[in-house]
Amino acid sequence: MIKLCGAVCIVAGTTCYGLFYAFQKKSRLWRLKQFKESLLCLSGQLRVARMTMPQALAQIGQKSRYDYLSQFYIFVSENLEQHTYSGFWETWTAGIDSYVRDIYLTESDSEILKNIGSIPLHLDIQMQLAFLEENILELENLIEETQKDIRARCRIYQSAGVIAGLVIVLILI
Amino acid sequence: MTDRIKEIENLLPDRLKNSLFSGMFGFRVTYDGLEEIRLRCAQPPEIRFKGKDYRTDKVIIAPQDIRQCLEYMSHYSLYAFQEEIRQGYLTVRGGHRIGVLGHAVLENGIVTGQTSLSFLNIRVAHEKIGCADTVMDFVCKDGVLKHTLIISPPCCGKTTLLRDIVRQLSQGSVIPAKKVCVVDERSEIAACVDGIPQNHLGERTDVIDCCPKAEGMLMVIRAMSPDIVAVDEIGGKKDIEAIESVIHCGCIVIGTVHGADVKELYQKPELGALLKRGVFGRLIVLSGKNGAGTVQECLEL
Repeated sequence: MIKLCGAVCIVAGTTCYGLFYAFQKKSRLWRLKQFKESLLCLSGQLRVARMTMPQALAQIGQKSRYDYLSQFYIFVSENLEQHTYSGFWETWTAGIDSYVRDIYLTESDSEILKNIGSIPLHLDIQMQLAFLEENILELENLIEETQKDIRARCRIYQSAGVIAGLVIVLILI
Repeated sequence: MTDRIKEIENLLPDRLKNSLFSGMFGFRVTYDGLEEIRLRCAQPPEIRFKGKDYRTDKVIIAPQDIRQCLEYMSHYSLYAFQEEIRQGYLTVRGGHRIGVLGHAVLENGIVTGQTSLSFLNIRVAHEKIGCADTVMDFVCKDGVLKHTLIISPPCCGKTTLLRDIVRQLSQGSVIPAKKVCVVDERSEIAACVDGIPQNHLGERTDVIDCCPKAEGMLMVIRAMSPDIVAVDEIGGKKDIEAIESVIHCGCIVIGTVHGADVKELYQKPELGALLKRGVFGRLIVLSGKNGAGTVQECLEL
């Protein structure tokens, strides 16, 4: 009975780990899509309303459906107004590190998002929009690449979790 | 007053931020006396304080100081101020106007922008509430408003006076409150930031900001049914034609014009013609005799 309970616990544990790993991969995809959506909003704000960056970021932060993105944009907006960091890039990077970069995004994902902070704000509006467009495209390519095999990978992780549990149980028995 | 000092400090590069108001020039600089701050690349900073110029050799302005200044002034968004940069100035919160000069960018002989901005002139805004008290009885004589012109040489307070006249007419301090529309081509009267006037113009004042005077006057009479239209620095033919339209709509015009005295105005072709026809019933002449804002004479034509 104890052995049975133990076996069930082990299989449940490894299955959960497999599910968690699959969930991580899906979450990465959702995060990238959410960030891309927010960049499209930013691009729209600049194109139509010609807002200053702190204003545009504050608006996006207030309207965002996602807490972490809302906190990120409001953080960047407020710190730009208060001149807390030495420039836009520094403020943006600090925001990414504090609110966006987490267990779901990879190191290279974070670098791509940080790169948006090097937007050339001293040039004209067309350059801002072109820069944002380029970064949105890069995110779209990344999302597409991730999306291609995510289903298969998630099934593998889930199955691997179950199988790993069964193998461990067999070894222990 | 601390807020006003903070407004100025927030525009300055980090190296000057904490020291401008605390002894950098060998004396305590107060907001009230501060008129201008000039930052020139590779030169020491300069201020105009109570009518005199002061420089300090403690600091030499570097290109990164100018860059930082521009970032702070534009909220890291110089792209949003391209038109203002093209015109050579931008207005920031508090109504302060910053002149910017650099390398002009031309297209077919027309200035389309500036790059390599290296020279900044921060004109510190000083709203003088109540400065029109001495002329309001004249402006509203017998309870009747007439088209009024404020004549003044440069830097003698005509815009400051106009602003306070607008405020008092809008608030109804002497005669019942009027609907006033301000055509603020250079953002000097209302000093709007994000559409909100930084100066006190009264509760019944509408402002059209950064719009050429002639177009602005036509827009306000079409859209806002003003009792009074206030406009600064009337000059060219288009301005005069627009004023005639405003007058024909039954609105009162209160404006300012550059000039040392009334005789000089009669010599101007378009404006002189208006004066000869008796369009303007009241003239206020300013001078700098006893400081900016000295009322030299008030004439009823």
